[in-house]
Amino acid sequence: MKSKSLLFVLLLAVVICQSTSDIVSVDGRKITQQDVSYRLAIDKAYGNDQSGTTEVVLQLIMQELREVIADKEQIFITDSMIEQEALRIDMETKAPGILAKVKAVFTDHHEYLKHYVRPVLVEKSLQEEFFFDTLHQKEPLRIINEAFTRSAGKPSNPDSTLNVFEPDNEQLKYYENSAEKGIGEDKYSYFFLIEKNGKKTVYLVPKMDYTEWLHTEALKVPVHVYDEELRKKLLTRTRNSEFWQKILSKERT
Amino acid sequence: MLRKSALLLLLACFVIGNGQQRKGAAVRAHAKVRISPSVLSYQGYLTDTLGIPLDDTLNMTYAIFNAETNGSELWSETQSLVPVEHGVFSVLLGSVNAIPDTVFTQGIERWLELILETTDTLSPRTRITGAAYAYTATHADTADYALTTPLGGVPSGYCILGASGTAPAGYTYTQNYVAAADPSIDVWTTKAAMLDDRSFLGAASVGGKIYAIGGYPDENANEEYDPVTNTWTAKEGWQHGRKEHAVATVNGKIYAIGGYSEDVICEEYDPVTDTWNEETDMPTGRRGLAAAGVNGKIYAIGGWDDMGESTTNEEYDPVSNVWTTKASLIGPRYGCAAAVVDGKIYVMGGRYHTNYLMVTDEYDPITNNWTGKANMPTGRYYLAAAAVNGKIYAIGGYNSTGTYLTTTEEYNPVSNTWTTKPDMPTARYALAAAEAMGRIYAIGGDYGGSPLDDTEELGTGVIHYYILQKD
Repeated sequence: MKSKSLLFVLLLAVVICQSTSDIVSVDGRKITQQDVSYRLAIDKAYGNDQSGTTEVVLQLIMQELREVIADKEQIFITDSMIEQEALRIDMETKAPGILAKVKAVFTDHHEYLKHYVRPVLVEKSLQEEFFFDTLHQKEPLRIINEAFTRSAGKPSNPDSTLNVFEPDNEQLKYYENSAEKGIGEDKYSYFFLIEKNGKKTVYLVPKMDYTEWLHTEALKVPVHVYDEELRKKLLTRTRNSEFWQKILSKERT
Repeated sequence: MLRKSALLLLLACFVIGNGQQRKGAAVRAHAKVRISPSVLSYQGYLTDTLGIPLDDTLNMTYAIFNAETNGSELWSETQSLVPVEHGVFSVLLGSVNAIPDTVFTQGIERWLELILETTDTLSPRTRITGAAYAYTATHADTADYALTTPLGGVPSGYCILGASGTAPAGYTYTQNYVAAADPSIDVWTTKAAMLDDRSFLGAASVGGKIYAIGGYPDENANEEYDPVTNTWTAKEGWQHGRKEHAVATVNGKIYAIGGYSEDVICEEYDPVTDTWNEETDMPTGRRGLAAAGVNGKIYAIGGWDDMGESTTNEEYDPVSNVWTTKASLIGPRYGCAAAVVDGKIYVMGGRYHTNYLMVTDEYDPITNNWTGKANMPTGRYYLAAAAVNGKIYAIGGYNSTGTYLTTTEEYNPVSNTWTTKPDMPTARYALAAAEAMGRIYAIGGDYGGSPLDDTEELGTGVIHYYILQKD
């Protein structure tokens, strides 16, 4: 009897916790009807009239997945960082007309910051973290370091697995400035230069793939679509994507 | 023999006509009827019973009735020796015997009957649609008339249709259009040549006009093509002249990205103000890439980076001014082409090492996912592609046998099938393609190392009218 009462209380608690406007839960973070309305309006401001609820919910799930992954990566987004990003967008936007339409979607500036600016900043920060963090790039960094060490004083191909090319003058300037006399990096690669037979040669290792990593991390996050009909629609919309089929599979929710 | 055959009228289209170039026609009839000596442009497509398009000169009698069958004849005229080419004919009804306004103002249903050589009556009659009523001079002869009508002109917020997105004073182009049937299907037509010979150029259309940007040898060139007047006009050149770049459009602006020799540059062209602005650099410098604009964002796909063929896919958001890394192409390639249908990007062809690719991949920006699609029949690189009416046309290019191609192939994303279309008249690669008014234009390119100035138009069976809104 006691256990039955407890079960009832627990069920009631679940019902109370899930507001009727909640559509999806991503690791406990709720996507609401209001979020969907805002995103639809933002898409419209961008000139996208094709987006419907399905498309918008998919965008919002990905947005929340990035939030959860950013948390795990200990990327902390503060209010002042969001304000700064908003100021940057104001100053740097190349489409002020559309930005004005986006802002007009929100009656409250904080809502604009939360629903438009924050997701931009989270994605930027996550990519920055992934591409320039030595832990995430441990493997390519190991390869380039070993190759660089091997190449010291030996102007021969330090590793046949590396990408090698002779840069033109423009490229050479870039690589020389970036690498100086050691290992350089840009968003997608580590590299160094060797002078061989009077010609400068660039040796390069690509960094890890961001989307692959993001998807691997996202698949560790529980996603629950409350409405079965909506879940089916999302599955149909994403039928070509193995990643989305897994994210939305019933076993995970 | 022809006279005795039961001919099939496959397609008919009424368009505006009052004997001169029109700026537009009111969509919403609001003004009182004005007596006007208008004619009605009528285009049709004739085949024999086997479906073979006719090539002939025929005497045609037209009559307007108030019912689909029987009814009263309200008007008729006979036109002699009307040329029919590849099945297509085009006439101005009322040019022999003026059509009284009362034909359209005193009744709802009107049907056109066509009689060939005075004996072969085509059946059934063609209904003159509501759109044709709007196009006729009865309610609003032109946008100019709509502006000056005694009843105060087109109310604010109402729309007119224009042959291009260039709006008259007091109107704004809505970035939308309506589509109507066009008898020009699968027919290539030679148009006015560009002002310069150019290869490895980019092209995009905004508001029914096409902009051909950069390329070899005049890397700074920017020319505007107006399909209505069939004329090219020099426009403001960009700051960083280059070739092998990619061009895409979002929200009425053209973005020209990457290329040789400044491969990270992204510049935006505003056709309204005829000005260029430099945007934030693309993270990965590339040439021979493809680009597409979807949902207000630009995608720069594939190409040749420092290391060779690339799988890179980067998204540029002009609003937040941020470049973001997106899911990489399934396989590396350069010299590929891209086009957009229903919010998805299709990338086809290109080259990887010595392979001239037939590969077609679909990118869905919503799911950030690439899906392999049916192979294009002809492997090739430095081809051009453009989309209209839900289909993609892949044109020209260069293949593994060293042939400059005239090949035109149409991809239907719904059925995931490719269909071979009539060859483009001029063989070439490194050309550009764009859609305007529902037709595809192949522009410039290279044959045997020589840049070309050719412009050729492919009719796709659809014509677009641009929606202009009263301020």
